[in-house]
Amino acid sequence: MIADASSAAQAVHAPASRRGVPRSLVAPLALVGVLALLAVAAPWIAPQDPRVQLEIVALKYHAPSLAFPFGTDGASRDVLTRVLYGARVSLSVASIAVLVSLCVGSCYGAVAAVAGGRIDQLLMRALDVALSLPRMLVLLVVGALWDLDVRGLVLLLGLTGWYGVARLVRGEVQQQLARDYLLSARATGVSSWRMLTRHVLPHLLPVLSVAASIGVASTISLEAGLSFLGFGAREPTASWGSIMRDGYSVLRSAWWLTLFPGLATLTAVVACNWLGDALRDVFAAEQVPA
Amino acid sequence: MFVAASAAFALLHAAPGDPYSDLDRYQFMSADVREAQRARRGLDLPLRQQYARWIGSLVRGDLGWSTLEQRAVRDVIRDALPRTVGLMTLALIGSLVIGIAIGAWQGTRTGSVGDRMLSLLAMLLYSIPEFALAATLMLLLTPWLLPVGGIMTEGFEQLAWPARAWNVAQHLVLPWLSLSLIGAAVVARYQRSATRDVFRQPFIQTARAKGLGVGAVRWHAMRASLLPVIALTGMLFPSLLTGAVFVEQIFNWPGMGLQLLRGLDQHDYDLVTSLVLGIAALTILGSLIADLLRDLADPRVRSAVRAD
Amino acid sequence: MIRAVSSARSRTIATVLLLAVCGAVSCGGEQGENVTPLNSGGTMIVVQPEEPTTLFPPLLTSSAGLGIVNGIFDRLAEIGPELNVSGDRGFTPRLASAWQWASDSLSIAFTLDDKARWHDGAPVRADDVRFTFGVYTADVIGSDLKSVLGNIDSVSVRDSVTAVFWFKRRMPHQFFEATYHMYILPSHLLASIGMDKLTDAPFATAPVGTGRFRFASWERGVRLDVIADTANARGRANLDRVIWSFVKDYGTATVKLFAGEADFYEAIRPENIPEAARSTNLRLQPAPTLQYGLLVFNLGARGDSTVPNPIFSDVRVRRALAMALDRVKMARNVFDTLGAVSLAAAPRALIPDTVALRQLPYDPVAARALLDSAGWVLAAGDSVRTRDGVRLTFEVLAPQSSLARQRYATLLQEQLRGVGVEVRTRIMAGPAIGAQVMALNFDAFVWVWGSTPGRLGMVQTWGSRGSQNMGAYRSRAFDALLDSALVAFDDAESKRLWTATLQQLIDDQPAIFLYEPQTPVAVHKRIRTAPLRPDAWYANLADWSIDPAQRIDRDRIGLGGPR
Repeated sequence: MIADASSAAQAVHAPASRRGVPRSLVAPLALVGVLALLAVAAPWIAPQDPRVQLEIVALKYHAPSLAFPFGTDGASRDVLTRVLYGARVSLSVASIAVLVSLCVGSCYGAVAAVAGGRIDQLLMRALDVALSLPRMLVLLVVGALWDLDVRGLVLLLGLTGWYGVARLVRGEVQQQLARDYLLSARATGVSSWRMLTRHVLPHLLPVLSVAASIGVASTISLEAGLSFLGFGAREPTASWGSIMRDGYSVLRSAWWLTLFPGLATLTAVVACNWLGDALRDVFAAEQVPA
Repeated sequence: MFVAASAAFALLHAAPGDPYSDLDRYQFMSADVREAQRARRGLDLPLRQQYARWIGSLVRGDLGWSTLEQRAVRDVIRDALPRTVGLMTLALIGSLVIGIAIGAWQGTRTGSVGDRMLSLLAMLLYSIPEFALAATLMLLLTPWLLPVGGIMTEGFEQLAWPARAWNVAQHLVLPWLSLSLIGAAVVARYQRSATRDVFRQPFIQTARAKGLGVGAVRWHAMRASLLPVIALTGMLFPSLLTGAVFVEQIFNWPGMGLQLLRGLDQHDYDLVTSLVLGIAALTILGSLIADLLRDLADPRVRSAVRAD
Repeated sequence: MIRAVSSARSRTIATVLLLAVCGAVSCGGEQGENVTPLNSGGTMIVVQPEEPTTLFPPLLTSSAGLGIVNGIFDRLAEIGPELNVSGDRGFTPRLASAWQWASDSLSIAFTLDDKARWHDGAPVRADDVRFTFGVYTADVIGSDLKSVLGNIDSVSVRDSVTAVFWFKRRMPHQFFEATYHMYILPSHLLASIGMDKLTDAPFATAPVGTGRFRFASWERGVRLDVIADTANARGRANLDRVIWSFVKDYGTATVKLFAGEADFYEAIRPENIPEAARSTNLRLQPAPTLQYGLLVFNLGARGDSTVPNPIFSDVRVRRALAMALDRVKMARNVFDTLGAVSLAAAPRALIPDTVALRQLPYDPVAARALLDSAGWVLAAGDSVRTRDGVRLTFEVLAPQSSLARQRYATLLQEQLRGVGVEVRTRIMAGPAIGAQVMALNFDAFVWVWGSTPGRLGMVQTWGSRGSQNMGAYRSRAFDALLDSALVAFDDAESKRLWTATLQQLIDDQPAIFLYEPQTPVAVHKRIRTAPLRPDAWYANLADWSIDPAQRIDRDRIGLGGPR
């Protein structure tokens, strides 16, 4: 949860390997892939329609059984189905939100680095202000006061998550721009834009991919927290966090309502963090001169 | 901070609803009474005027009036602040002590089975959402071992202070443990790699070669690796504050996080803006303290840090 | 010695308390038992999710503070257990020891109990009554109750212990109006403060009353204590102390109850009932309430009540929606056996003749036919009905704070889907829902009304000019029936008119009447309760007691010494 983009700063900058996928990446990539696949395939593999209330009196809070491996919830909906469909919401909200923050953060950081001088100082000052507020605080205040739909949630998460990325990108771009070959390129009149896209951007990919996986991990967790407090995804849309919120009032009797979405959340967060760590190690190793 | 508070003010006032619009709370309040109540609190004025009034009183040190608790916000914060700061301080100490101990142990034995197990555990701990960890701890450890929530068991306020203190300590265990575990997982990761790196450095090799005892070498390594970890405290602070919101809610610890949630629930404008202000101040204070600690731990970076 | 309760944790408390009780508390419990009846003593902890904002009686707006204020303050007379509101039948003396009706019934003279004292020792005077009426009706105070005191013209002081209420109209429920809404306030403490500062005065958070409990302390966000007023003219309260413990999270509150850290929980949820029933500490006790849950339709267009709503202004649609819902099963789902389908715009306890009311049946086939006949038809291959290109879709709001209402929204969404109606549910925070509802900017919302005895609140909730008529229901026929029911003095006539009034609402379905909660309260076994009155479980709290043979550690706290 705590990990944020700034820990990606440890990643070192080197062009991505073209030698295929390193061994240490296989396991985390596979795990993330399986989760994503399950989410995408939910409509085909889920045993039920997530809205269907099977039998609201006889089948409510049905404990896990062969027919309902994850049990049913208070409205007699199949929890396995809800968790699978919840994966779609939780994972896509987190991924799109991170994409938003990567875009915003990269642009912001790149502009600051390229512009330099006064503008750079001003932009960084504004960033300091934004960083002085814990992100959760902003999420809570906005989430509690505004009745957000899923799109709003994505935007909110995305637009509060880019500060670290901006710093990171600014630093990287500054470093790259200071390199000899770019200095000479600039001297020969190559435009800044062209330099950014052609020369600097490829160098950013390792850092950004580490930041992205760690960002997705923390965003899944944040979204779960928000939904748990009732400010995130809302009925009938279910995310893992909102299923857990449903189950929290019956924590001790209908444990399956909290356990399964909880495990799903944990798995997804661990998978993304693991991937982030592995990526960082790979890039760091590649940077060591042979 | 000022920007943060103004943003909070704008968000609150732009959001649908106000302190008197909760129909559950004010079931039988008629429209004219509701208007009268709003007028009493100046909520009927144009937003620009409300803002000016609010800034004006803020400058005078008046935080406003909590509609939720029907008393001055100053008093609400005076009650809540020490509870949160106390909890956070203990949690920070807990995170650092546990994290550094585990991380240093791991750092000297990287690659061993124990190291891998602990790394996995740390990964799980910092991946688990705060509320899930807190709820799990509550499920496992209450009520048979520890009290469920709150700050003191009803009845103990009549007793002498040792009994009261002991009781508060019991109530503190779970919120503290939840926060400390999350923090410790992060600290341990950093401490582990820092220790490992230090061990690879020439001066440690030299010390070893000179025949210094294992204990002495470790001590040197420890000191050298503390720096990056201490720099972490600045980062740890906001995340602990975040965690505190969930932990206070789940364990009913009446600090700033719980008050924030209650205030948001009821659109208590003055209370929420003041709490946002307070939390921003705490965050800044946290990073200042971290800078200071860093200076103390390593004289070389003194003064250089700020210019970075 | 001290009896330990079953759990291991309580035993550790017992040891700590044992060591400390003798030192810190000067053995208040034991001393008290010598002078007071055997029945008295003990501490009860009430756990409650919501904390009151104020203890100033005119401003009590949510149920959170009612139980506390009811212990600290007194009304002039107390309504009887059958909640009769016509005349003074069933009412028992409280602060007034007697009353006399004027021959024209336009005034009632209340004689105050001359032994009654405020908790600070001052005697209670007729001027307090006059002052109280002034506070409740002052605009600057902004009490909700002003609107229900409208038939009282004034209160005058005949002599120091006689206050006279003057009424504008002769009505069956005059006496109820004069006594039910107002808790008498101490003018000797408040008159000098100034009306505009009263609500923020320290009195509002540390009140002085005449009740059998007196205010002791309030630690905000944590707890509030009241203790027995040992000098009370009506006898001290049996319990030494009642602690109201505020736990925001329902789940935590429930665990606290199960752990034996609390003795009473009113808001226990149906899901937790089985666990409570298994608990060795607790007893579940039936607790009738006057609540009923409903789905309120906005009969005006969104944001503009002068234009009829495109969907709900047609009574056939409203009736069809009601018939599409299996309300019996829904109540079973949410409440198990602890709830029932609501029969009308009042709980069963306040319906004079439940059998006489004709209900809408659960009949999805008829519901579909009715929707067809109203022009909402299902095109082939479509899942939502349309009329003139408009889809039969609407939004249902439910508050975050109520799991029952959220569940109802979820359930009815799915059931209406079955008849080709698309419902979008939105779970929102209370203030946000309120803002939308008050601006009439909504389609429908799940709501709970707490009825007032005598159904007098119906004027506000369903009358054309009612201030709480949130769905903008306007019916001349209903208004006429209600008016005549309210002024019927004859019992049989009253019963007939009320039945017709309620039937009119069932036929019109300005709302679907969904449920009536019958959830029990959870009480610690050692506590002996007095009868729980449907409008206020706490009405006889001073008569509750704790079996001396079953006392546990906290029952020894007593009235408390200097802190």
